[in-house]
Amino acid sequence: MKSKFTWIFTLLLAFFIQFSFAQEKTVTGVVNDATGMPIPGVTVRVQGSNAQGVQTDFDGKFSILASQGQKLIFSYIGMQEQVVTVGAANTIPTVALQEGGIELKTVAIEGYRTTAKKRSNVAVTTITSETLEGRPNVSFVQSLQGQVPGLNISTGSGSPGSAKTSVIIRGLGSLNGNTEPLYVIDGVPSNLVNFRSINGNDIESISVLKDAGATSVYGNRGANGVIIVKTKRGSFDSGLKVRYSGVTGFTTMQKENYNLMTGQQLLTLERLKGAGTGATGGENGAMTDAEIAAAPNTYWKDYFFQTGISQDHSLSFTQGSKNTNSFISLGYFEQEGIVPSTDIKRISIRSNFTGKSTNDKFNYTTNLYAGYSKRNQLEQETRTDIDGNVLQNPLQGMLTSLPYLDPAAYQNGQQLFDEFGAASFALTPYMLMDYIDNIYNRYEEVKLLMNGSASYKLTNDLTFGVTGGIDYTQNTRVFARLPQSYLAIVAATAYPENPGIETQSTTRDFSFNGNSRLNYNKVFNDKHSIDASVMTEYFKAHYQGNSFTATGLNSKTYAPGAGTGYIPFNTATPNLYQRTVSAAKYEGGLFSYFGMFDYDYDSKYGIGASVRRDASFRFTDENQWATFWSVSARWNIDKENFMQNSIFTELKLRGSIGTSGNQNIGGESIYDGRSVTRTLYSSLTGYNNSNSIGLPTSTTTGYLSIGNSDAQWETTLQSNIGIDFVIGKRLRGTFDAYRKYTKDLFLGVPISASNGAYQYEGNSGNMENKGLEALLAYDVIKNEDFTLTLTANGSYNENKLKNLPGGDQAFGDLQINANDEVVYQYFMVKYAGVNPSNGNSLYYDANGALTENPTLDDRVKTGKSFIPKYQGGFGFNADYKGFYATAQFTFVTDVYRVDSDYANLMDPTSIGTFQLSEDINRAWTPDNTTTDVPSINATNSATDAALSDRFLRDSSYLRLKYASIGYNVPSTFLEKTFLTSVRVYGQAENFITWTKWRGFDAESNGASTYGGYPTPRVFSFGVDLSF
Amino acid sequence: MKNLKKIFILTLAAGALYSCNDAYEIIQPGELNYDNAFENVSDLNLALNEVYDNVIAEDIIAFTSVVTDETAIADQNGGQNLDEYRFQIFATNDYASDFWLDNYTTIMYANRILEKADGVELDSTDATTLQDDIDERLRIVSEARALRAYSHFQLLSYFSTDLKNDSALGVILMDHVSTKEEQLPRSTNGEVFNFINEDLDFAQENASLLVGNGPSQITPRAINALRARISAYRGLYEEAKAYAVLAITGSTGLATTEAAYKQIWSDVSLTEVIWGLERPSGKTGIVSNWFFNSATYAGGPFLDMGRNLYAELTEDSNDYRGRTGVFIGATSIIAEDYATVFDYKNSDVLIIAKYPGVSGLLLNNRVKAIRLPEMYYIKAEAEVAAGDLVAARNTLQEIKTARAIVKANAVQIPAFENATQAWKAILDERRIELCYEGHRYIDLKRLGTLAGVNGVQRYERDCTPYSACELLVTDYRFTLPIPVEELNGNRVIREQQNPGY
Repeated sequence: MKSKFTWIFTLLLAFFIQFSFAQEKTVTGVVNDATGMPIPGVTVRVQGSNAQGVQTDFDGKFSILASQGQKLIFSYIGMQEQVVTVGAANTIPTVALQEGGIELKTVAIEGYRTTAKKRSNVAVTTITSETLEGRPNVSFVQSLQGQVPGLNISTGSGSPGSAKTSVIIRGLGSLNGNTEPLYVIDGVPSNLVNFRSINGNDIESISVLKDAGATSVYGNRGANGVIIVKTKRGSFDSGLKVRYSGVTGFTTMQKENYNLMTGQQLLTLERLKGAGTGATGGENGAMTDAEIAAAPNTYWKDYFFQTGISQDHSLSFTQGSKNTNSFISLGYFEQEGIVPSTDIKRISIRSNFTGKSTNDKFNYTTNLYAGYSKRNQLEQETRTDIDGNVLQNPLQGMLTSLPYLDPAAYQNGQQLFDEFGAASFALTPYMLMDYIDNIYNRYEEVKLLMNGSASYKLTNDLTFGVTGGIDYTQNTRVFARLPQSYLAIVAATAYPENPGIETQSTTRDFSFNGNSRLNYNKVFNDKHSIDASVMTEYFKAHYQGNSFTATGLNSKTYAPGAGTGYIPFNTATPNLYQRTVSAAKYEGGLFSYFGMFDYDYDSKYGIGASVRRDASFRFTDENQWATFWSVSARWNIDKENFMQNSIFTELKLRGSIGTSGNQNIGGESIYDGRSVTRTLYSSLTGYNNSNSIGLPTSTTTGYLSIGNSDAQWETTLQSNIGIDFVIGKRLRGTFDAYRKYTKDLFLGVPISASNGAYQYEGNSGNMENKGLEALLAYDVIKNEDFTLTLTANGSYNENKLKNLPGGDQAFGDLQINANDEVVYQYFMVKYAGVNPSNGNSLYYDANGALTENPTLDDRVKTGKSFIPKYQGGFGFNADYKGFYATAQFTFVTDVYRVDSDYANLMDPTSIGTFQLSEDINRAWTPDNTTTDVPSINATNSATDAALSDRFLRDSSYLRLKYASIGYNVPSTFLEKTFLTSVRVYGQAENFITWTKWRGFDAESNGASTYGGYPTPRVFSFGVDLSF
Repeated sequence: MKNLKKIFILTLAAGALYSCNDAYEIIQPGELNYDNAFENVSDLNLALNEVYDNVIAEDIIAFTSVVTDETAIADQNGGQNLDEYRFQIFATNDYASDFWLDNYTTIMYANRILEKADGVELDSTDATTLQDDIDERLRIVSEARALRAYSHFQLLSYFSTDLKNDSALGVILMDHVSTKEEQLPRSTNGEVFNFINEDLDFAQENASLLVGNGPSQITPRAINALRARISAYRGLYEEAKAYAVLAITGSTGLATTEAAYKQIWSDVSLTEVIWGLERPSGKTGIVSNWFFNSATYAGGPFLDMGRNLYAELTEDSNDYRGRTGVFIGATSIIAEDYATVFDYKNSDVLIIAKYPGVSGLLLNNRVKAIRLPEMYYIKAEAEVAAGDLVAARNTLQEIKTARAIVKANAVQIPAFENATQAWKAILDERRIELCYEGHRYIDLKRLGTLAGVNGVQRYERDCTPYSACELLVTDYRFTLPIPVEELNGNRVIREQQNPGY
């Protein structure tokens, strides 16, 4: 290491040519906005200088050292950058910045650095705080939906604080490995994948890095794109500014369209079918019309869903002295889910501090964040095996419970057991009612993010910097079947006096990231600028977890999590009151060194290059180290003379190509697949619970794990070409086209079962993503009183698998991965409708002929997948004399999912046991032979959902994701108060959805929704005060 | 500022010199490499426990019960096993896939012991300890080989089209630890049987080391019983009879009272159990083949007893097997007018109570992999095959009498007029005595034609709603498909799929 550094050092030193500067002087001035109000916090810097620049104070005033003829650049987020040349005077005329719309116009945040947007070679989209603040989403990531072309965000569960949000940039990049982008928070790469404990109101900007030119420098963590999060900071020389924002709202369920039956309708159907209460529950066998009419009709939705309350308060303090500034915020967030018993509460504190030496040579920052959240969620959230379990998943309650049952039949668990005995489908709603009340499942999460960085200008051009940060997450879970719960009582037949179990588990995840860098930045002859850096990065992660379960609880002394009430284990009754314990400890680490080089000629042409060497703890031998590279270039066409009279105010062509890697091949977490290269034996519980040794089970394949010393990272080669433009002053936009080719997909490679497994974990197969992206914004009206901006973005991505080992690979029964086709496509028998002669379902066999009894061999590839091809968003921002309105629509199309809930509601074998959809009244009868619903006595109805595409549905949707109207109280009204600004607003999240999907929620990150937790609609009101 | 500069330069130097290997040279805490896992004889013993643990019989018992005529769809069925019940069996069938893999996993673990056994360190403190270790190692190797033979035989039984034909395709013969790249074709039955015999011969040579084993492990008697079964399936009845007699000789004998018989099933007694797989807490529960929670009506039966089996069980009121609380659960809902009752599925729920669970573990029971009565039936089969119909009748009668409540009134099996009658009687007796023990599927296949039984014998109201009344004993579905997962990973076997799939 040392020798390399020395060498690079020498090389850089050799470039040093000292230019003499003209006499510097102090230049002062004022910066206003379009309405003439001063803007504090505007960055003023000298073009070509490496100094950080200064910021305007509370009155918009600044002072900076500059020489005559130098250019001052004024930049402020949300405003258009302006350049003013320093004249002979020491004061420059008042600068008026123009609003720049929704986009962070002037600064492009790239990996490890920030570049003027015009001089950026890479594909980056940045979202600023305005679009994030006050949104009633637990995770700020959800607020990004539909705003960034190529960024697909889909949420699989609306449970407050759910981690089931998929964030995919430019198509799925891996089958089994991590597909989520790398998150870099305040310069520190983070391996976190959920943000429930982060306060979104602290965020200043989020930048999405998409092409190889931007992501390659993140090496074997960058293949899925990079999302850079910057939190708010204070500014130097500014007074204390206090800001309070509060949002209160309520969460409700979105509309479903299943046409559930009433009690009377269902009883009538049951009588017709000859099954269930309708057929047998009458005084004399089948119920009479009068008996049916007298039966109850219960709206189970009222018992299994609710309207929740949501609150978000945040208070922040910003101030700065000459050499220090700080941002401190306190936050409290609370949201009740739309399913009773689910909620999250979070408190957070952030302290960002920046300081510098008087001579500006030394800069340092610290960012401290602590968040604590507490949430109650359904057991289903983390146990997919009970998705379809109508007795343990309350999300099934509304759709399966018989509407003619009387909810009053349930009082408590013991009464239920005494009256009904063991679990059965007839108990569905009652068990679920008890489940909601008496299954305790609480998580507490502590999140600490701490980092600091410092830089020192060794010379005017050479800066040395270090950044270090830790990310600590601690999760504690207490899960219990409370002693009074029905499930505890029914399971405790052998120990009826002490029913109940409790599990407590704790996980701790700690990671450290350290980065040291040497940057050289220099302008030669005013036109040639060079920005070069060499860096090393060190990453280490530690995980520990433990868990125990106690069976048998004393209801008198038991309290969840307290440890009281555990019944001692007794060797005389070894099958009762058992306890289990477990613990885990993992480590992971990465080390890298890399370099970046950028050259710019007169802000007209630029090239960039990066190369990174990465080592991962996961691989061995020649696969331990990998090299990733990129080159990028740009041409600012608008700077050319021939463009002088064109309509383009700005026009830039840029392109890049490069590689990046994915070393998290076993899954989202760095710890997944940590021992993949070695064949291990572990201690197991063997025959008759004796000790034994054997192979561990692989999480990737689900089979016994056989070591594979050739395992390596997945590599993505990406090329990108893009245009950024501004036409006139009002229309601006970006177009990008890309191709991503991922090689060496990590997956289960099929092997003969003679190995004791059907698959081993290996690198085989490739995947291609090709796509187009566009982002446009147009200021339709722009004057002092009224502004109206329209925005739109969209993307198209085509995904194809290539070179899969052994060709097509079935993924479950109904999905397949096939070469040259989209990943996870559905593989089903084509449903043909109803046989008019007997009411059975008809299908197409593999040859296209009609059949009533298809086999698995009749399945065909559909080319349809739950990964959308097209997605995007559009909306507007309007502002009239302080009143404003914002609307944001999002859409995804060409996306298909299986509506399992509807399949159940249309299953004639459910008649008598479960609820059904009214649609089944259209079923075939000898008198109604032309219909789309098979007979309720169809003999092959099981095939409909088990094999055919009858319930495969287009789940494309267009949604008014976000709408807000508000009022900024004009400052003239506030002059005599202590307030400096007041804003009030009302907003709606997931307001309206247009879709063919009939279920709870058209949006999901999975192939089928089966009793899933829908994302809620949230209506809220907010107030925002500054003083 | 000078100092600051110095600090920075020092930091830089420190950063440059800092050894970073700890970030990527990581072995996880507590890893045990395969190569270091077998150091001494006790390690071999630990590994043997894992071989045993992978002997799984529950799945194939479930499959047999569903696909034949042992079960019907019960009131709590929410789609469980409907495909198999409707004979929808394809190369993707989960039972075929699991059964194939489970057996090869057992074989793989056995082979790993055999690969490492020679290399372990023996306790050479003195001649006694050395000899003890040598014996212990030999015992472990013998058991591992017997289990390897058992698994190969299990595979043959379900995946070979015709066990009586030595040149028919068998299964992959796996005599070593496979490598990932290896792709082997199916060997012939003859080749696999030779291999099985070598393993069993070896184990029998060391029988003296196995006599100390209990019925939960491989014993000399279990090996004889297994060989009896193997020979019978192959149609080598002379051998079969000899082994069956060996397995019967010196055994604890048949249970003769209802109480004693029930104790076998509640795992209180090991009478009649030649080889029983232990299933304590935390292990698969056989009761969950048919129930969600327990073997009672309230326990969520998704499959219940087929009406025809119930009829056969209860035909003889002097046979305690047909009494409520033995095979038929006390909580059964029994419709007198089952033939006409309107809601048959919900009105007639015959609880399968052969596996009643044990205290505190309502879903678990010991799996009786080989039971003494089977040896009697094998003996009877051999006698029919040898043309001695009288002897066969008498052998069957021994069990019949043992199952009679009042021995004096035991139903007497009439003399057989011809071999077909005798085969039919054996098949029927086996159907009753060995129900839910995973025999019926293979029995129909190998004895059905001889006994003049065309196919599965389901009650029409059990099967008509599912269009699942007929599966002929000659149907291709009486042999399992080579699972699609194997075809994916093994190119050479793709041409060797069983007919019909």
